[in-house]
Formats: sequence, structure tokens, C-alpha cells
Amino acid sequence: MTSLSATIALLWHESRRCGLAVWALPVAGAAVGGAVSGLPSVARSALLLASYSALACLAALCVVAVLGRARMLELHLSLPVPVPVLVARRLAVVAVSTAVAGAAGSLALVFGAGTEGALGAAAGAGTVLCTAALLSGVALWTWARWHSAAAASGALIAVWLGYALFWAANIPPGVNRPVCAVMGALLIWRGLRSLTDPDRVLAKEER
Amino acid sequence: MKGIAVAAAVVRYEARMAARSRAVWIGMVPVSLLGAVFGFATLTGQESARLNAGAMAETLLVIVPIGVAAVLADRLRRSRTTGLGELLDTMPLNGAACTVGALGGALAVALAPVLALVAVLGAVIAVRTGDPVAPVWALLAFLLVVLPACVWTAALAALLGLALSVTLARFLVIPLWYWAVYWNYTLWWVPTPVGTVLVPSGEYPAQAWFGTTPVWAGYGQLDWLSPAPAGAATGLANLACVLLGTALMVGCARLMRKR
Repeated sequence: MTSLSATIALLWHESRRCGLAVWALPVAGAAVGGAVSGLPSVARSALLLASYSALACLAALCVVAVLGRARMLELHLSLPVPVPVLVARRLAVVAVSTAVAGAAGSLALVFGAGTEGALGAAAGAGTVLCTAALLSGVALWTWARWHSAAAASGALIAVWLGYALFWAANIPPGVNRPVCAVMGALLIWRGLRSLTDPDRVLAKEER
Repeated sequence: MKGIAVAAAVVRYEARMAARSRAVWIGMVPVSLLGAVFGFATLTGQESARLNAGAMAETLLVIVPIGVAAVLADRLRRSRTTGLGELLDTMPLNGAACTVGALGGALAVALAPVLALVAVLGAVIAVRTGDPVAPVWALLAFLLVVLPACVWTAALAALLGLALSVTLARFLVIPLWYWAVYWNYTLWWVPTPVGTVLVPSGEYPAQAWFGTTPVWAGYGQLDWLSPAPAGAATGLANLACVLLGTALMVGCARLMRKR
């Protein structure tokens, strides 16, 4: 029990270091769900997928904003908590916020249009999280590798456009979601691993 | 005259800075590769090279301006955070020329991979249609259709990046672009400038000089703002409106930078 409360306290502490973006994400999710529920039913199913992938893109841009706010990395290198663990904790905060955003979007849809139940909300959150994992992985890996938030957002938007226009439009969700989740996990793992190198972390500090 | 020389000098050093930093390349090269997938899909080779070039340029607009906007959203804010702005303040530079140059230099580098892609697509059109002047048509289509849209979105993104946070600007530009250029208001009615001469959808110039059939141009929500596409007159009117819109956004950005 103490470990759970300690984890929550830690995530709360990190969430205050992540900036406003993390808090804006659930609000954006609810707004997107509300807007889609106001659509005529012909347009709704098509725009629902687009809005889920837009939310995932927003979540990944949130990751870029959070990474860009990482200050005093040289100081962090002298602390017992390694930098990859610190970044992973902040990613966990964004992941929680993304899940809430996806669920809020789906709930707004349920209340507005009444087409889906609580299962729909969970599925919506899952879809957003899997896509966001891939895009966040791209963002984190690019940031870790090339030390630039601008490069990370450029790369993630390019990947998102390709994903939304080609991949998600043609691949069934049963294949799409696990592939996104696995590729995202791989990219996040590679990105975090490259942050174990102190030289690379210090190179970010110099910029 | 002095303003132009200043702008040219700023363009030169901004382009060098953008070319050296990897951020622009990392964003624009994947976008251009995606654009290649789109561009190749339109090249049937069954029509004239002129028509193929126009259709190819219109297709590139689905994706390229968004990439440009995402990459350039931090362009005018950067000088503040890096301290370069304070250094520039000590020099006898005109504010407007500086803003135009800062955006233009980075835009030139961002469009280099797109220009390479257009050259490749032009060569493919030449092979498919057997018309040796196809690369010239492709280049013209880039200048008249792709370039105005990219200039417009770059100015929009840079202005949003100054007014809001850069992350938010990068995200907002995507829905704004699709809302302004592709929103199907017959499916869900919201006020949108789709189909008017105000937006750089490329349909008016493509109809005027490349003979493509426009989808939305002429069917905007306000009749007096969306004349039926009728050759060079409407094409030029569209380009003038896009240029004016860009100038307005750059002017606003300049005012915000002065504060």
C-alpha cells in the first residue's frame, strides 16, 4: 500500500514538472469526443478514427513538450536516479494523461451520441494509447538521438501523416494496434537506452 | 533597396543555419518521401505532361505544407531563446526585412527536399508521357501551386508559434490546414474558407495554367469570394490573396517580435 501511495506521490511530483500540456490533453480528448458526437452519423464513424489518431499525435507532441522542458540534466546525472528512469517516469505521466484523454473522448461520445457503452470508452483509450506509443517512440528516439525538440516534432508529424493516410486507412485495427504498441515500445526502449550514455545527455545540456 | 539587401543577407545566414542544424532535414526528408508516394500515385501518363504536373502539385499539397509548417513553427521564436535576437537588435537591420529573411531562409532549406522530389517526379512524367519539357512543367507547378501554399503555412505556423507555445502551434496547423483547404462542409456545415480565393488550395492556379479540374474552387460558402475558376484572372487573384494573407501574417509576427 505504501509503495502504491509512494508511486502516486512520485507521479504527482513528476506531473508538475511536465508543464501544462499534460493537463490540457484530457480536456482536448473530451472536446474532440464532444465535437464528433455532434456530427451526423454518416460522418461520425469516419471522423472517429481520424480524431483518435489526432489525439495520439497531440499526446506525442505533449511528449516532445515534456522532453523539451527537461532542465539541469547535468545535475540529474549526479543523482542516484538515472536519467532514463526520470524520462520514463515523465512518459508514464503522459501515458496516464493520454489514457484519460482517450477515455474522456469516448465518454463524451457516449453521452453525446449514445452509440457505445463503457467498452467503447476502454477501446477508445486503447486505440489512442497504442498509436500514441508509436508516435511517442518516434519522438523520444529522435530527441535522444539528435538532441532536438524541433527534429523530434518534425519526424513525429511526418510519421503521423504516413500512419493516418496510409497505414491506419488500410490495415485492420486488430493488426494495427499490436504492431503500433510493439514498435512504440521498441523505439522507447532504444531511446531510453541511448540516454544511459552521460556524454549524450550532456550534449543536450549544451544546446 | 536597402531593405531587400538586408532581407537577402538574413536569408543567406538563416539558410546556412537551417542547413547545418539537422532539425529541418529530419522533418522534411520523411515528408518528401511520403509526398513521393502520393505524387507517384497521380502519374498515370495518360494525359498531357502539363496536366500531370498540375495534378501532381495539387496532390503534394495534402502533405507538404503541413511538414513545412511543423518544421518552421519555432523559426521566429528561436532567436529569442538562443539570444540571437538581442545580438540582431544591436545591428542596423530593418525589423520587417529581418522577419521575412528569417522565415525565407529556413523555408528555402525546408523546400530543398521537396524541389528534389518535384525534379524526380518531373523526370517520371517526361518518361511516361514522352514529353521532354515535362520537368519544366513540374517546376512551374512547384512555383505556382506548392510554393504559395508552403509560404502561407510557414507564415501561419511561425505566427502561431510566437503567439502560443511552439508545440501547440505545430499541432494546430494540421487541423487548420485541412479545415481551410479540404473541409467538406456539405457533410458537416461549419464556416470554412474552402473553395474561396483566400486560401492557397492551389486549385485556381492549377486550373488556370495546368488545366486540372478543381474540386472545391468556385463552390465556397460565399459566392462573391469564390468565383468560378476561369483561367489566368482567377489564378492571379488567388495568388494575390495568398500573398496578401502571408504579408498580413508576417506583419503581425513583426509587431509581436518588436514587443
